[in-house]
Amino acid sequence: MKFCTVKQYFDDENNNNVTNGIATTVIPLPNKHLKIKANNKEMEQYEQELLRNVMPQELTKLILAANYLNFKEALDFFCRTVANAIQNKSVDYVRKFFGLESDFEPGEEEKLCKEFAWSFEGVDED
Amino acid sequence: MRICKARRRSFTIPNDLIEDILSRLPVKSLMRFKCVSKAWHTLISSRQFAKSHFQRASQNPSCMNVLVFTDNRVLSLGYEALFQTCVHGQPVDVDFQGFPLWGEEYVETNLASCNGLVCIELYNRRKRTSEYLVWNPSTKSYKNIPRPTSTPDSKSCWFYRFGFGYDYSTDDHKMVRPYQIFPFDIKRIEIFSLKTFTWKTILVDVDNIYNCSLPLTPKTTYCNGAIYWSALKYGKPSIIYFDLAEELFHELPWPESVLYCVRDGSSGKCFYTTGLWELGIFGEHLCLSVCTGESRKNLCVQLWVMKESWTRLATIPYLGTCLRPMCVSKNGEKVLMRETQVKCVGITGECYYKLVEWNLTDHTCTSILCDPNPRMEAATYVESLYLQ
Repeated sequence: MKFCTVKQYFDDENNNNVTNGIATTVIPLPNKHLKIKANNKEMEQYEQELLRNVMPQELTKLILAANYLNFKEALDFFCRTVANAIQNKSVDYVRKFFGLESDFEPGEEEKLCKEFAWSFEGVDED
Repeated sequence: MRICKARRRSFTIPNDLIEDILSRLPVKSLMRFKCVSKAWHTLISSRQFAKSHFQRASQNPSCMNVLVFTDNRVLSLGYEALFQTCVHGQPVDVDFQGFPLWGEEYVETNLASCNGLVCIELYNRRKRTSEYLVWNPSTKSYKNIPRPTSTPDSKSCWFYRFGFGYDYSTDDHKMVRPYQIFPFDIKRIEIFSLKTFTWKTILVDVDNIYNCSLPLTPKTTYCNGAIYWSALKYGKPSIIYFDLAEELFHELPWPESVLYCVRDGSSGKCFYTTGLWELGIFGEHLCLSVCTGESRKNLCVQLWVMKESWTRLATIPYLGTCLRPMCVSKNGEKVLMRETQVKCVGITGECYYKLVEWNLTDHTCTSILCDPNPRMEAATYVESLYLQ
């Protein structure tokens, strides 16, 4: 890993808030990944553990950190985790998660929801 | 261009990462998330995103499904559901406007699938005419294919089995119909492009392999940018394929050591097994399933896979049927196949089809899903966003 980048990341004022998350989660990842690289099942269990201990919104910070550090395995891991987390969620949940707002004209959104009504079946409650 | 209109906050996931995350989602989630915002709607509906989503899905065996058409319904089996002890199919609602799948007795349903889309043909045996439709079972969208304007009258030409494939060079799904005009014995091929939504006809060079072979195949196979037909060339089995990018026919050599004619021990006459072979798919490769052997009493079915050259994969007992390989389990041990049985009814033979799973390690065969059916057809497809 690029330790100079890590140091720069910690020194960077804007990122003070994420240092905790990064220290506990992202940094140990290379070791964990190397240890359990071959074993997919262990990786899945680790992923479940991570999801339980980390708030979904925290994942955003972890993704940004992994992206900044150019740590591809971690980035792939976190993106996959986010995808699994939002897969069966509602449109509103996803908007909150990514900090988005609807910019459809009134009526446009209802029309779309009706067109793809089948895709709303079996969605998790918010 | 910022893909999301975010509230002012310190942590916003950049566009390319959002795209990465979305490309991992199943089609059902993505169709729903088209309602998140205008930008997400544009992204998910885009051709480029469909391509990157498909590239990821095609590497994931869980995204593959098998569609089964019988004489009265359509069933879908997910990859995870296959190769289990008890296989169940989910019924699929199909209601194509102006395209009745179970209308009349003399209409056959034929399938061809590739890269997330399924092409269905309704062939009217009496009139010798065909109607086509392209369907994406994951997005539930479909398009009726218009009739080609320049096709000669069905009385003066004979159409061979249609093919459906993906042209990598133009990022386009294409449907092809080779045909022959009587009495001049001229061969041509009609090509429909889903992208431009138009037909064109190509004349085939006199010297070309296509002109001296007779494509007899009951079903074409698509593999890696080309469509394959099993054919006969001067009485011997031959495999011809149409490269969609080059728009040319080529011949694939038959595996050398495979005998296609077997001597009958008592009479000494030659018994051709040329009717007993089919092309299919094994993983990412073209697979040839052929009935062969030293003598008529000593037949077996050999499975050969085309990698750089033909490689023999397995030998299984011949049980009087022809098998088309469709897909393989993750560990490579089990193969899903479509079996053709010929039942003699009086002086004619009727074909019945069913799905079976062959275990290549212990040579056991299990029937799955339904009883042998005279109109059963099956095709595999991968979840995709092409055609929404």
